[in-house]
Amino acid sequence: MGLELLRLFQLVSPALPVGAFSYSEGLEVLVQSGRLADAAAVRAWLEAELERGLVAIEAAQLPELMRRLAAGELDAAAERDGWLLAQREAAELRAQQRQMGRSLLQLLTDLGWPLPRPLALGWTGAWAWAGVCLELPPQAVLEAYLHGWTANQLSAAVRLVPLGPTQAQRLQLALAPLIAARAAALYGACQAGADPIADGLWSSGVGAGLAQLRHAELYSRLFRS
Amino acid sequence: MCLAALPANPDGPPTPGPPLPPPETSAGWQARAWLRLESEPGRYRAGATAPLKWQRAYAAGEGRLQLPLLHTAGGLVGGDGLTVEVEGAPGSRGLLTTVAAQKVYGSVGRFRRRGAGRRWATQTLCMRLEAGADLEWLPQELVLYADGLYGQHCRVELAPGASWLGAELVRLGRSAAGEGLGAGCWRSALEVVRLGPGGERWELVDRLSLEGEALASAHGMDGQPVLGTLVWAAPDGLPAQRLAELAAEARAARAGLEGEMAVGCLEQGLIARYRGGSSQAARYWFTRLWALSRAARGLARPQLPRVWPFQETPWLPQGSP
Repeated sequence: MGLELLRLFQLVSPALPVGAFSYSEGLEVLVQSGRLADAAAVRAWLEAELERGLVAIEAAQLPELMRRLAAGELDAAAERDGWLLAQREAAELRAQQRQMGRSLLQLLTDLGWPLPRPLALGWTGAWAWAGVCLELPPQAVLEAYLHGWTANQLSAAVRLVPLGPTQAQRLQLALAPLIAARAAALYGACQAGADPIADGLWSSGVGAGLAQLRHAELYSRLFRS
Repeated sequence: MCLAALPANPDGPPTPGPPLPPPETSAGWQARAWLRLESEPGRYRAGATAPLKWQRAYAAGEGRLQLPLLHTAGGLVGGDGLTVEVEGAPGSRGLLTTVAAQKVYGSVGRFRRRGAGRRWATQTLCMRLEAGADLEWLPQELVLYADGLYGQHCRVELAPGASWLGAELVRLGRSAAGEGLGAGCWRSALEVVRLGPGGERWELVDRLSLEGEALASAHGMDGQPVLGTLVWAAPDGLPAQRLAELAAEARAARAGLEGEMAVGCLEQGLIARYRGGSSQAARYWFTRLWALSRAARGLARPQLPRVWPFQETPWLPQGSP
């Protein structure tokens, strides 16, 4: 447990050199348009994404992605990863997922864990490969994915003003039970044998998609998405 | 997987389908329409089972066949299922629309005594385009009544050089009458797949489910009743620069229209979303984008289908598109 936990800490650390800090995933648009004015609005937004957003669909694919990668089914893993990328309607989001995935795969290669053959994977696929390399249990990898995403969104929100650093920490704490519950539910859905493509996994993030699409229209931007 | 059993209908106008299935069965009313557009302009094979029916085809210019699809049942209820399967032969051009807005009536709770839980009205669309085929799918809007349950699955398979334009509008509740969606739910899964020598590539996967909290939440519909999605999977080879220019023109085409509108580039195409209160504004914007996609292919500005009831001029006041 000790070693496992430490490896998990390393994976979710903001020091992981994947450039996550340069992406707001639409928060910048929301802040500039006055739609995300305070901590309560940020919290509601993050809760909605965890409950009904694409990040949950991505996280739910992690156990299957890990299984395929561990089994050497690389084409099948790339196919599922591509299915996830194609759900990101904004080009900036696809670029983000690809860049972060590339960076994580490069890091893992440098640490002695190259993929069996070169393969372009987005962030979700690369995260699954990290889980395989670090020999982490799939549910923990899934939970860490949601936790890391939340921390990065809060970090972006702090830089975009509506939130102080203490408030961000308070929110991360407050969201922990939801993250744990979502991770358990999404993992349970995978284990139940349900086909995640045919059933259950839907997004209702129309507003999230609109905000991400409109990032390209911002006159001045701090973030790349 | 589409059109597994295409009947060998003679060329020409649609043939009547088999006898009507009995309505009001526990399985709901199931209907299927199929169509194959042939390479030779104006030629097609089509058929349908009631209550679906193809209306007379029109030549829409530039070798494009316009085919309106009629649903004679006057709406859908839980348990009903429609299937539409379309094949485009190499180089064929088609424009498919519907003769009227589709209505989906409330069904939550109506079937509770059967213990069936929630019963959905479903629509399954499958469009397979061979090399260089060009299909435009522009149905009229869907109105989901309070407590209505609607699920749609649309799969589009594109061979190299094929072009697919799809635009759909949904109104969640009869908002003009102050009605919301209640316990209803709208779901739509759209998958656009590129087939090539190197295998399949997902161009777009869009899996939306709107109900409950998501209707009011800013993250979802923000209290707005109308959602529109336009997707243009462009023929391969359109340079990224050209796509970016088209996106900029699509943004300019929002002029004078109410609602939130955003557009972005796919790997090889465009996606546009509308969220707001006016299906007319969404229709105007999408019609302008339709014209942009035509211009990008070197084709003429479209003429609005004759079956659309609107006496409208959706174009920008002056200049293009």
